[in-house]
Amino acid sequence: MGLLDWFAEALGFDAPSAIELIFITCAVLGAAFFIIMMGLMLVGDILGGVVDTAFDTDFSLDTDLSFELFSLQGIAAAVMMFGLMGLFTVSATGMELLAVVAGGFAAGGSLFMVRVMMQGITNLQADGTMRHSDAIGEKGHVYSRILPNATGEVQVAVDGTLRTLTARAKDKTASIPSNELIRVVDVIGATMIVEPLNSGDEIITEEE
Amino acid sequence: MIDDGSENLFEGFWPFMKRFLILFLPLWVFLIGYSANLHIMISAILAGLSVSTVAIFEKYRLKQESDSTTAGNKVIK
Repeated sequence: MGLLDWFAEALGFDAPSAIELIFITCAVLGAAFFIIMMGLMLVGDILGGVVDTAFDTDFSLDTDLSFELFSLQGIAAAVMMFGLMGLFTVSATGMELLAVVAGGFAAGGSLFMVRVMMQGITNLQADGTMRHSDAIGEKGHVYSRILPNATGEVQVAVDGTLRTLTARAKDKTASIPSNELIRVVDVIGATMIVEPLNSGDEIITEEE
Repeated sequence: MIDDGSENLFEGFWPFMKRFLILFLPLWVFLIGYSANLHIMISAILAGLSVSTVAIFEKYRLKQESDSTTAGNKVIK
């Protein structure tokens, strides 16, 4: 009796068809690979900690390698899900075509879940790039005075970070002295178009 | 290698998906054909054709991304 036949009999398939054998192979190999990968990651971490402590070294998987392993785990999970869902469907309905389709969707679903997890990890990253358009509507003060039809500098909080940005007055003939409170009304390139706040705006700001 | 931006699809997950699909999609299609009792040659041909859908899907998504990026852009092309 071959190994696959033994597995098939253990799973309740006395005389498995070719499709059932494929499902069994996928389920067994996918699960084995997935478990081994998970085990290696866990044991690797434990071993890494032991080696780090004993020899005062840095022995750990870097980010790139972790992502590669993660991808391999995704493939292993997809293959495993294909096999398991196929076996479940074929034993429940006896329809091989339905089992193959269901197995494929299960594999796609597991891949999709991996993608969602990857997306979640990616969303945790912040590149710190400022979008100048986010400054529109923000209030700040003039850092370096803005002369008529010339640029100066303003300090505005954009995306929670105080930035010093090049600015021009909306009214070309206006001069805005240093420390004057302003509001960004538009952005052209990296230059803020600002106008001074009047006293009414300041009161509204305090009320907010 | 031409950088057409495809590696940025699906938040950078597409290259991995693409390799997976190119490898497993034909097998899946072949199994569907085989289990549907289609002739093995027809199943094989369908499996081979299914590979092209990956490339077509990639181009379609790239076009979608390009259209969404340039939507409202008044630059004369």
